[in-house]
Amino acid sequence: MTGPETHGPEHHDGVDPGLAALYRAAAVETPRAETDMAVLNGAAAELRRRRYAPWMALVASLLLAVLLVPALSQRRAPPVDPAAVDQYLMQVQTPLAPAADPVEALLLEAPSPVVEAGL
Amino acid sequence: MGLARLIALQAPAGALGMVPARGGPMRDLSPLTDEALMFRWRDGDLDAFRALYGRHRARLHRYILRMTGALAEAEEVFQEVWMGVVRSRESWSPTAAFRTWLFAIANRRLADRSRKRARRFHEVFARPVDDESIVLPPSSDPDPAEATHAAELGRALLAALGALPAEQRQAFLLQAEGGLSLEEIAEATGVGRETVKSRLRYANQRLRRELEAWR
Repeated sequence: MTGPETHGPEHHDGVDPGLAALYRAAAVETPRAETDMAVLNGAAAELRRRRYAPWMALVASLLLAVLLVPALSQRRAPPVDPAAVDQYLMQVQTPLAPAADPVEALLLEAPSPVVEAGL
Repeated sequence: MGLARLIALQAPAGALGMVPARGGPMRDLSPLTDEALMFRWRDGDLDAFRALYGRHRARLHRYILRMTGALAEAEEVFQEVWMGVVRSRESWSPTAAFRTWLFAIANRRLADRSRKRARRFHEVFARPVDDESIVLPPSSDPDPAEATHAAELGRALLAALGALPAEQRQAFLLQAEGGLSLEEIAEATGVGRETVKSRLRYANQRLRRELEAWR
């Protein structure tokens, strides 16, 4: 049995065609099917991610707006009750009877003994 | 046994097989160059990526396998490289041949791994190839003696390759497996053309010497 033809003339660029061919004949491993699927699925997922990214961003923005608008609205002052306003204004605008003289005020507050006696 | 006979015995069946598209027949993208396919992939054509993957998956896998020396690690690096291709589709520009770019990515991933282990690049690449990771195909040769010889010869070559210094093995594999020219190997490995040529010459000399016993 003769040996392999691996000692032929070497190309000027360092390539030995005999050895390279022998290697290519001997090395035949391939990736596992699971590895193929992982790579191809990864590529498909990346494509989907890029393709739908603008739409996803738009949907996220809309969702955020839907959630935020009512929340912000609730922070505003509650609606004003017109009756309460009128009542308040009445209180404010009604002048209190000023007590011109402190002594008179005391007399007005304290019941007079003369009046109580019916004299 | 002649080389042609040996190749006929061990020719890989479907080693570069295409990956069929899901959901319909695959378009015929075979006339397109790698770069044209990459442009299509950049535009979102998944079939173009499948075609690229089908063209280069086996040779890249074998290259990484022989540089790492372990099947499990090779599978991880292999996936990392292709995910790099996937993610860089929009930033890719044809500054170099796709094949050169692909193997350059692989070299960077291999170097990253070696750094993570806090080992020197050369120490990692100098690891001999694990015999268990070498899978030779069952031969269809009717002559058991010839088949046995072919299988043993192939195993001897791969073992000798695994024992080569890292840079020589890398240069040999990029040329024999990747089909890269001297200039492309220089670009993918970051060294000069003459350095690549020298590494190739030493690798070939050593491999021939190792295989002398089989003559």
